[in-house]
Amino acid sequence: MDRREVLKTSGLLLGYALSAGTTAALLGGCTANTDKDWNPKTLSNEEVDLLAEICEAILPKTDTPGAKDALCHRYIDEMITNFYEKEAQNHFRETLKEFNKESTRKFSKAFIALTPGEKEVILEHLSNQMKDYVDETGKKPHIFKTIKEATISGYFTSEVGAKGGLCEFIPIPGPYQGCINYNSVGKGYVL
Amino acid sequence: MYFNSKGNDEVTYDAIVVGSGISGGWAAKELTQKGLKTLVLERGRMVKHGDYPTAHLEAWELPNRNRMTPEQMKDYKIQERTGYTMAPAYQHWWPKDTDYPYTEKKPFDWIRAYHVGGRSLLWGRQSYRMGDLDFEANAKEGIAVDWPVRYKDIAPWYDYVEEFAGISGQNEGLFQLPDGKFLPPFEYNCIEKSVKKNVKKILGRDIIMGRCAHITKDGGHYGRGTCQTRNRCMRGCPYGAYFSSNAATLPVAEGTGNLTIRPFSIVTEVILDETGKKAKGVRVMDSETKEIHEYYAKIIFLCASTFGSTQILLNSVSDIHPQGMGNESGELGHNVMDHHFQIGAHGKSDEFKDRYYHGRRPTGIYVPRFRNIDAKSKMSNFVRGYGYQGGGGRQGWGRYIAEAQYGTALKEALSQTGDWTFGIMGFGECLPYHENKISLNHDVKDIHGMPTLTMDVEWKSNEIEMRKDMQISAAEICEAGGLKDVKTYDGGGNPGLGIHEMGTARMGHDPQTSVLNRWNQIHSVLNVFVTDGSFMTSSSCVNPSLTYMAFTARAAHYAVEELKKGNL
Repeated sequence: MDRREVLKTSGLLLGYALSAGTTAALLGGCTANTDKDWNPKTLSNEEVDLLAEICEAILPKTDTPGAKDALCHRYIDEMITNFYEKEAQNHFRETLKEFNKESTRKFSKAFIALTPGEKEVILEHLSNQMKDYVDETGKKPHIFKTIKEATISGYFTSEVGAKGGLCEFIPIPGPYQGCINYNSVGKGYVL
Repeated sequence: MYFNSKGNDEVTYDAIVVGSGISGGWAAKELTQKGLKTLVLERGRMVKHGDYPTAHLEAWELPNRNRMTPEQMKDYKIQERTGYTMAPAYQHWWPKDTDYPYTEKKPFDWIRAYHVGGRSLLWGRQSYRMGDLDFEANAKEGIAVDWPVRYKDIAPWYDYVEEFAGISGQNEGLFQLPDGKFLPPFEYNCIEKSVKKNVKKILGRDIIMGRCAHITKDGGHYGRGTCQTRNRCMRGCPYGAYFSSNAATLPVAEGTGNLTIRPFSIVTEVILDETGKKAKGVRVMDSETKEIHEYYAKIIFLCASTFGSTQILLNSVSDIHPQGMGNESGELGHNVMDHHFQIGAHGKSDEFKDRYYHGRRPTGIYVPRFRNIDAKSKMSNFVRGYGYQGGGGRQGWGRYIAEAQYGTALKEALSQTGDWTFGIMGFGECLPYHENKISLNHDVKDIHGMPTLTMDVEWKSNEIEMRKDMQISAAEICEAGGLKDVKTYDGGGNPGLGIHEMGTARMGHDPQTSVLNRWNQIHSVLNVFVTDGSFMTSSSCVNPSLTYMAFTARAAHYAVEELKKGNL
């Protein structure tokens, strides 16, 4: 299906314009970082590049697509832009710095320059920190929690992630079968 | 401005139906099939079967992965209260709250849909019969007024509407939940089977498959398709697999050649004839041109939704009916009911790790009422009862995965399904209280300049006492079912949130205490029939739409008979 056609028809039928971010996501398809037309709306380019590396370390490319393929970093920038108030946006950007701070402390390099193994060390540290973290106001979630959850939801609600084979995507199941052998599917469902 | 330049012939029909939702669609079908030239007036836009623009869109094809932004939500602050109806996939079905305000003397959630098909496109599709336990309750307990109808009167009409609508379910032989004419039921999954068996053995309570208005077997039903278990019903079903006016009743009515649908037609009032004893027609505002039209007919069916129909009657003021048409009793607008819900329990299971299911079943299990159904089940702190809706399934990628936080380990964990969970939610009967009422508010106008409603409705002690038992019994059922980590919840909720608003023009024997007679006719204006949820004399605890269908079909047949006899 021609992506521009999808965009046009869905936009028209819905009777409202798709957001610029979604437009970009639809047109961009799976050619993630090479798409020069896309610019973040809230994060800086440096922050988005860092975010893309974090997302990819959370859901790396294997025999199925990774978070970068699914443009999770773009999804997160859109999410922050459209759903976060200024204060929450600032909290996100401020705490995002933790990844570089920690990688500089441990490896004297920016997170983006780390080897996959080194990135895991940083993620291990921050995910452990998350487990002990208490968000007293309910308005300042731990950065690792925010990114992890958004990466997962961004992944499975993207076409690349939904159809990429990590889970089973069945848009039109047909008759319901109440009890089947799990091994006949072998994985969870996207929907 | 009045525009009746066409002459009376062109604005005169045999019957007028106000509204095109579940009740209006049925009235249109029955009246046109009996040969009556019928005009259906719908306040919103036209929606033909298949006009479901989001039916096939995936998350990535919808704005913000199908989430409304706070900015978009600003005009939908009431609709937002449900927590599930406002999303880009459904946004086109809901009017802006800012266009149609109402006044909440006490908090009330009014969830409306203004288009051809109304909420029949959006309903939960659960379809249960009321029985004599329900119809006799008011009389036995001395509450409100007696229903002028018993189960034997309405049972054949339940048969009739079930066969046409296509209701899937299983006959269980339960006194409190009458059997019906069902298509094959959906299957239980293995956790549901297990809980069902355990609960029957330990508590003696039944768990049955949810009865729902879905076609589960090919054939009949005017070519409607079978359910593909996509569970995207609220977007409109391209297969016509669940019952809606658009997919089922209106196409059949149209096929008779006797149907005219006029969208963008807001009925402002019912007009009396010279005698003052009969209605001669309705006054309509064209919502696009703001012109006022009049349409005339021998019989009028008000099916504009519970509050919509009552609003029209309250606005139909004349010398004979100074307090609104049919309001001699003073009960018009009173006895508002809804179902209270969002309370229950859930738990987990470590069993059946090698089992799964296929498809997204659009219904769940149902626990029929077990309180106050006989002497043994009598409760000391509340009357009436409740049922639970619920179901089981395996957790998906949205679950919290403790054992893996990132990397290939997280990916591997996400690729697999999680634990089995099972949960139930109570839906409780609400008593009819005279004090729970809606009234016309001339100080606040909607976008068309029409007076709006003021809601003055609250839960009272019977509902509050019942909820305590709903919560405890839910945990009891989950535990007896063999589940672990059983937790209860009470999400509260304002009246109206059940989107089962009922009452305000109740049926009864006595014109002094009720608005409608046993045939849904206004006592004092016999050619006006009101067959949406406003006629309900009590609320039962079961989902009400199937009952509206049955009463509408029955009233339509009666109206045609009376018309033939020259009585109307």
